[in-house]
Amino acid sequence: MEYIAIAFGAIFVNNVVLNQFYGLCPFLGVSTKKSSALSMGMAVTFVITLSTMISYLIYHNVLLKYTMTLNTEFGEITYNLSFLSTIVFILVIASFVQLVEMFIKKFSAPLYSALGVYLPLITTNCAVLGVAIDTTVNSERIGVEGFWQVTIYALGISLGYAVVIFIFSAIREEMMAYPIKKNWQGIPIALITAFIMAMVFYGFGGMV
Amino acid sequence: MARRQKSIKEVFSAGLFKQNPTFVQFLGMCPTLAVTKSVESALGMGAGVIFVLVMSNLIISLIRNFVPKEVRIPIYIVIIASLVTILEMFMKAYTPELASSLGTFLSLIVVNCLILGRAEAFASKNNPIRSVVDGFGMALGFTGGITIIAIFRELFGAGSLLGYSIIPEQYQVGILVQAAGAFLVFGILVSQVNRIRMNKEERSEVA
Repeated sequence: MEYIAIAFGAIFVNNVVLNQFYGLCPFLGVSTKKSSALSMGMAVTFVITLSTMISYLIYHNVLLKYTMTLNTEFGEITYNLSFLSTIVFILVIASFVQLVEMFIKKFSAPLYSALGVYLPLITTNCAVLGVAIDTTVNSERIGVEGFWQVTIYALGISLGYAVVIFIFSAIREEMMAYPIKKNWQGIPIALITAFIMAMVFYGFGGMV
Repeated sequence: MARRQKSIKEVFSAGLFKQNPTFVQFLGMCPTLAVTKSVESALGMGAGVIFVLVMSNLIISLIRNFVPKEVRIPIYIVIIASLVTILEMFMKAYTPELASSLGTFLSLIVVNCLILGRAEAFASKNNPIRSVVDGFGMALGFTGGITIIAIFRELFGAGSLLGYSIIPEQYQVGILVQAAGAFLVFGILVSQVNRIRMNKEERSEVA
């Protein structure tokens, strides 16, 4: 039950795009066609879930494990390696994305043609690094603990991303048929659409 | 070189107006929307971006002739991540409230496309002085952009400016300081910036 609550909260209530503002560049950039939005959503789900699991394990088994106690003028202070987390996580994510790309290229041509172009873009998608940091360094902010809760949270967040980017692309595809004033075309009207979607998603707030 | 090289002044003003990262290029949109709840956190974010972008442009343009082309992006990312870590530790030590109000977005400066974009598009091809000027102009343009959004959101949403309350509570539009309001304010501002730019283009075509 608690896992369901975490997943539901991550998908709808604390939606990654509409509520936390992660991953906006691909959200506005790739969402003009339904098919590419779906591929992007799938690629992001895959990468966020696995890279969050990896960075959780690294954070708890490497960065927090090796400590050093120094005698300073303020007394004994114990340091660990957690100050390196930003650097370590971005490297882990970048190399993981690279690995996934090579793997997919080798073993599944249709999957590569569907996701291939989007994989390099994901390294700079701040949702990936954002969720990795939120579930480790800032874990008290989102209130999940333990490996499985974190995994479910990451899966929920990334599914939320996929759901929202797909709905958004469907709306934008529909919007092509209507005349829009020139200065509102493109990004501005997309932002207003996102505003209305965010208002709709507030409705889920009362359910958890 | 066929095309005339831009003067230092043009390099600086490009970031402020013509290629403003917030309103024209739409770079680094996540912090643009996330930290503009209050003017204070927008200015803090801007200061952080100024530091990281100027330093990363400087370092990257200093090493631009030694870096092999194939591995340049990972090297840039490591440099930027180190700078962000320095900034993070500094902010947590000296301005802890600001650091906690920026939250994860402080670390997310690493993946702000503005910084990697300038490294790739400008600093890797230009000398250190021009790169620093470009970085400063771009970062200042970014700061200006997010500060304008933050002024609208804080003034009309929370009725205050830098913490001083100005508008009484019954006239405030509470939705603007919530997550959804960021999209609304940013969308309206972009459309108005577009209108001004289009008017200007039309006028210059007529003349």
